Amino acid sequence: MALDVLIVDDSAAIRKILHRVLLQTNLMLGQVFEATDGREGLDCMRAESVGLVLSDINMPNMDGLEFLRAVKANPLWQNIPVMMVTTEGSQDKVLQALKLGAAGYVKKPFTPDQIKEKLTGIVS
Amino acid sequence: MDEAKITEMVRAATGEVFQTMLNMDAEPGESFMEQGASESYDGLVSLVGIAGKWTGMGSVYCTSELAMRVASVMFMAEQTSVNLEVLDAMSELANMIVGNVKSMLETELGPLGLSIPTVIYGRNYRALSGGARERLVIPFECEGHRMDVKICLIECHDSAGTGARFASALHHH
Repeated sequence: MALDVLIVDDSAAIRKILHRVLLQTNLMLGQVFEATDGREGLDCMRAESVGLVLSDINMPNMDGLEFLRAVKANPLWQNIPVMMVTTEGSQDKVLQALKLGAAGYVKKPFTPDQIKEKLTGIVS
Repeated sequence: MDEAKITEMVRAATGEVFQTMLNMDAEPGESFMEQGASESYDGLVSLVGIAGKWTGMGSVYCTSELAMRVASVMFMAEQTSVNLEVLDAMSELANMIVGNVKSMLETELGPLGLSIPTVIYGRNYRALSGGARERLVIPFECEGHRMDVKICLIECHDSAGTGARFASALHHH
């Protein structure tokens, strides 16, 4: 079954790069949705049947940790893996994200291989 | 921590971002302290605020040509004018550079936060960070274009209510 993916990042450049990397993976991709912050991300989750999320942390309106908290609090979404892709390298933020239920963590700047490797581990 | 240490952090972060995300080299030059308003620039500046027990700003200044080149690589489409894609790419570039410097600074200065980046494009502009009279400037050359990364930090004293200047972070930590 094809996997619909949501990318949440306020940078269009990063969304584009992640979209490109997703197309290079072995994942059986369905649609790739994009959102510019956590609020838009939640709107997309309500409207679409997303199976995997890649999210930034430092975003306007609703940051990635708030978004992650909302996803994991919803029984319909709590099993959907959310991978954080962010410049926030502080131990505090990493631990917070993992504690909230993030499936993994990749720090920017990243190579396509780092994303692919992490995604393979998460999806398999 | 001293000026040389922060310079090394900025060089490491900038080099890694350019190599990893852009497959480009950013050749560092000699760093120096800048006082008062900046020199006059043409091109783009991307500003990222730093907050916590130390507050300040990280900024990336570059020419329009370099910004278009960076955006062309990121978007995999040639950019021939300073459009939204170019502004976005510069915003993310500064976010990654300053974000990584922030992570390194945190090991010595404690937890710090980052603002959402702001990008400005213009000609003949100068910049001044209120309260911070000195900034550390680390120049780079990339594909024949100059790029400056600047860091200023002020320590927030809770009881005295006055901030020590960046110089104290550079020389006494």
